[in-house]
Amino acid sequence: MSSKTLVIHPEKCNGCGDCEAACSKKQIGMNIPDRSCIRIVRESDDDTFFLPMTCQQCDDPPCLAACPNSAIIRDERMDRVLVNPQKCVGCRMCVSACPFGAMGFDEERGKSFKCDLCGGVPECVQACTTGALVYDAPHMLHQPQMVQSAAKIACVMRFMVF
Amino acid sequence: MSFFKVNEKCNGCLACVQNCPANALKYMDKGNNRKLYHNLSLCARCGNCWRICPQAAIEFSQLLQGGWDEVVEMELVHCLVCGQPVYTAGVGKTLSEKLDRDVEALCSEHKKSFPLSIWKRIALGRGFQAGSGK
Repeated sequence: MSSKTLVIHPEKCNGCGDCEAACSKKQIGMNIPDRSCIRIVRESDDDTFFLPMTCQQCDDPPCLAACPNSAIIRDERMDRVLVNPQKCVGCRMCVSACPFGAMGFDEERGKSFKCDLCGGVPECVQACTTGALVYDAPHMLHQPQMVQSAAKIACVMRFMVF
Repeated sequence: MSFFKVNEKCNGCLACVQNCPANALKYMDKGNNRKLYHNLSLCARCGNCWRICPQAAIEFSQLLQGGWDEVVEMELVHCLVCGQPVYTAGVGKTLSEKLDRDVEALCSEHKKSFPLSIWKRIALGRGFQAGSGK
């Protein structure tokens, strides 16, 4: 498949919040972390483990199943789930249905919002400097590990040959 | 939900029906009973009936004072961690019927941090490997 996937490496995240700022800026033009589609969660305030959480773009989305007005659709071309704001009636069923808590609700407009992968160029990935967020084709995601193990094998081979 | 209410003091004298300028009140005598009817779409909300009633039986003050009518009351489901209301019991029932599973009673924030401990274990295990690899 040609579509790309957003992958999160929480062990690389340093909790800087650049992804939240970039997302919120793209969404509403202001830096309000509450309006961001990606949120960084941690167990306690002095914890050093950060987990960026965003929409998983499920194959069979619970939000889509829960929506009473068919406002949520799955875009197969880009492998993403989209909310149609014209159709959204603001009942918050999708917010309760999402098992990841990734569906946001805009109190001002009275409509749901979620990650739409910025139409193929995710701002959060552009903003992430630590490599905790990666947006790439599925077969490319394991490339670093593949290169690493190839190097190891090459090293062993060299040792065995010479 | 009704704006025009009559309490038990009403004796059916029909003073209100006679004095309604908008013909929003009518009565019907049938057999042994007299029934009083009110039509809200015809009612001009003038309060004439309420002023004129000799028994002070009409409770029209709700509409005149701009009061709020209670429409419906239902049970709330609260987040298991922080206790803030997340949805009503009715929404939970509809959702579990639609999704064929029980919906977790957690707010968005705590749904996000729910997989945190598992992720932490995986990531820290992997983190040590990555650290020694480098």
